[in-house]
Amino acid sequence: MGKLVINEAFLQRVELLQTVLKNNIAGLFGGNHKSRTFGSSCEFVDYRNYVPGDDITKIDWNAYARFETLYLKLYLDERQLHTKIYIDVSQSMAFGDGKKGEAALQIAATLAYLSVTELDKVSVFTIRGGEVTEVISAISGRERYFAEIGKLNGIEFGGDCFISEGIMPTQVGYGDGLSVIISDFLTDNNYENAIDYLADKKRDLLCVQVLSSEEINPKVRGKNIFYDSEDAGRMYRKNINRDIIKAYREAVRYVQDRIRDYCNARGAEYVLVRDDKPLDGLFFEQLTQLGVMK
Amino acid sequence: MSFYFPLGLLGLLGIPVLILIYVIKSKYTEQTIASTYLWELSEKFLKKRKPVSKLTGILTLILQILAVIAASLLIAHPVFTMRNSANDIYFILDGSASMNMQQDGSTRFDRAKDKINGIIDDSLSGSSYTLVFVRDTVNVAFEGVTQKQQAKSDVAALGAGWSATECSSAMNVAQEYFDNNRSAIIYLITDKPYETENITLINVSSGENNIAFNDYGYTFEDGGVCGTGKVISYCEDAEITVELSASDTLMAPPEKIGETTVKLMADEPAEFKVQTAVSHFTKLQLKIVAKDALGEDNVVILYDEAKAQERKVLFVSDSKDGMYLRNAISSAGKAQVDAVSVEKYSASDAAGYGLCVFNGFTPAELPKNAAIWLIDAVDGTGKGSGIKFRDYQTPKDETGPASYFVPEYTRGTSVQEKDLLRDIVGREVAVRKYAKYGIPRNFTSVMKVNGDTLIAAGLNDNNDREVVFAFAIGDSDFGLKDDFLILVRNLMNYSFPSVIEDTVYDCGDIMKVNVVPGCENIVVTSPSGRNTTLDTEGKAYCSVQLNETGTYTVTVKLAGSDESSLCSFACVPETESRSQGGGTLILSGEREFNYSDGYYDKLPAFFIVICVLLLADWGIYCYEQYQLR
Repeated sequence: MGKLVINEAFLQRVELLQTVLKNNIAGLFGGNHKSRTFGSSCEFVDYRNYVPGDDITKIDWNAYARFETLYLKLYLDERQLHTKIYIDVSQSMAFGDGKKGEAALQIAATLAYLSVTELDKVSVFTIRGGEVTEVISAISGRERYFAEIGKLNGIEFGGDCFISEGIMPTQVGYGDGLSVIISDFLTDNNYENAIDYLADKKRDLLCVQVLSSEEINPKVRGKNIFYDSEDAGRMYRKNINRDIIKAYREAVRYVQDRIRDYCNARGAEYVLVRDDKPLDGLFFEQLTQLGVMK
Repeated sequence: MSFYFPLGLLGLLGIPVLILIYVIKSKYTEQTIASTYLWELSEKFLKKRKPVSKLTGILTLILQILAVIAASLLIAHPVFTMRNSANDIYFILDGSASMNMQQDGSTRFDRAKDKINGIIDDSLSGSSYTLVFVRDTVNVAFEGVTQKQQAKSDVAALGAGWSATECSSAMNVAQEYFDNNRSAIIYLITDKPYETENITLINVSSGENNIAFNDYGYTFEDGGVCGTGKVISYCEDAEITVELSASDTLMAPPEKIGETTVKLMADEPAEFKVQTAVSHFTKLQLKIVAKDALGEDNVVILYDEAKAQERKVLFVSDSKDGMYLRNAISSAGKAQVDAVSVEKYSASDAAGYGLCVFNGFTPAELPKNAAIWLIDAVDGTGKGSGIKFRDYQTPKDETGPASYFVPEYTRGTSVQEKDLLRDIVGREVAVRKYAKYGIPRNFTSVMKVNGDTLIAAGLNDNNDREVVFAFAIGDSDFGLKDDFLILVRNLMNYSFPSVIEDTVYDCGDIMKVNVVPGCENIVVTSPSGRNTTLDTEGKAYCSVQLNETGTYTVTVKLAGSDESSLCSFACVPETESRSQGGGTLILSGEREFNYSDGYYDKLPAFFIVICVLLLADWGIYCYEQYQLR
């Protein structure tokens, strides 16, 4: 597994981005994300009549002078989010030249950085088998980020991955931020339940599918026996010809469409990442176009 | 269908080898990939293939097997006989002497063969070729040959002759071919300017100049032999030298004894005369010293006619009329006659004579190895004569027209009948009495009366030439007639046949070789050295066609004596020297232009099929492996 390399210039550019959340923020601490509830931020929203018991410091005296009625000035509330990033660390993510795994880690690191710059908390989890392991635990602030992010280099890829079985038993919070699942989703194991579960918990969800260029557009032809890297018992024996390649491409489209449609139906976002493309495209084009970033 | 090279089918053994290789090569490449999920999922999207398309997996093998089969068949060279795909081509090739004329080292005949080969090469594959060769006779050299190479090798084996032939003699054969196939392509390849219809004329003459003797002979002047004659240059003016050479023996090469220069105008004969002081020769050669198209007609060899066989006759007679006969034999027959009386005659007297004439007397046993004349043979008729005396025939009346017989000459069509009656005027002859004989069938009747033969000639039981007179010369007025002397001359020529009657022939002529008495065998040696032993059994003469130009040697072996040789010379016929001929050659009938009557070889089609299969094989391979679209 290649070592995670932090590109500081890229991180500086990413700092300009801001996460857009769809769900009402329900964080406990004040943060940088505007809540739909009224709070004590600097951003004026509305007036309302004074009710005894209200904080008199928030009475707009200028309005009282004009209208001789007590109005309270209302401001947006700003909360701190808790971004939770789940990385599929199965063997398929690291097979070949391991670029899929590298891409997954870089995406996770970048998203984590983006979160800490927005004064949010970040946790990074790995999913191996049916078990979720917290690699970075609820860090906030750049100093903690740089102190902790190196842990990603210690992640070992291998085994299988059951996303739903891993995520659902864990505490994912409620309406308090963004969940990101980074995986190749090349499995017939259940991952839909995890999406449903996270959506039900009013968390914003971003599914990042990482595929290699060979998986998207295979070059292999002729008589081949393919063995599954995660399950030696699974094999595919075929004379790869034009018809099969055509069917394969349809299968790739089907997988993408299925995840995208499933996510969209539940207010989640889906994005496909090729391991051979730079991450600029993901953050500055794909995610901004989707409205996940701005 | 048949195969030219059936062993080529052994190539089919490659099929099991191919299958074995295919099985061995059908190995799957194993590799581990990140996930087989997408590949397994792709099965859902794989369109159900047609049953035929299931074969595509082994299509390469099928194509390769087909290629091996096709290649094996190619090597085996199958021959399909399918009508309506090519042409029937007929050649009529002139093989006359003039086709030997040459220019720049190649003869007209060589050019004719080149033309034929060119036509064969340019013809459609599968066409059939037939060649009618007009040489000394009309022969079909090859017929219905469908292989070009075979036809060309058959053409290469042909050679022109030296006789004068007319291509019109091949018209019957050509007409038969044309009647069978009205769209047949018929070529006439000749050097003569024919006008043709339904025949494509290919004239291989290129205006070569030829010089030849137009006439030739010799005389004796001032005690020396003098070669005379005419020479002609057919196309160009020329100045030539005529050499006269001579030798004293037949086999010795002649030595030059004189020459003369002659200026020739084109196509005009010019006389020449070569005077020499040589008085004796056996062989005389006239030769034109000049470069021309045909060298063979520049030489003529003449032989001394004075050296003909000597005629010695034993005349046995006591009759008064013997004088007529004896004088006639001596004068008309140019013979040395020795007379002997019947009383003094003994069988031993006949030795050394070529002819024994028995007038009014018949010996008990006829001499052998000598010609016999039996005049009015009455007593017995002699052992071995072959004739039988029956009785005398006398006229009914003593006086008047009925007091004598008027015989008639028997004018037949055979060569011998014509020879025996040559120059006979046919004046009426009166015969008072004749003997009725039983004449063998092989005798040629010369004179008859009332169905009875009066004069006949033929071979007797001793195989010697025999002439029979059924009447005494004195019992007729025949001895007073001029026909008598002519007949005696003819009968003497019959009795003393020279082995060959002429010494100079045109090529293609038939040389008559007489079977002389006592001859054991006769061998004719051609100019090329080919020996032919003639079948002389029971024959008065044999015929030999002279197909080569040059000196023919006739060697005669007589019983009890050495061989003797005679020579004759066969010249190139004047018509061939001139390259004359031509005329109109027409094949009657309406021509159909349907050039599709031969046999078609499907080999090229096979080759194309194989190419297509191999290309398809590669195409599919590339399509599958590189997805070229």
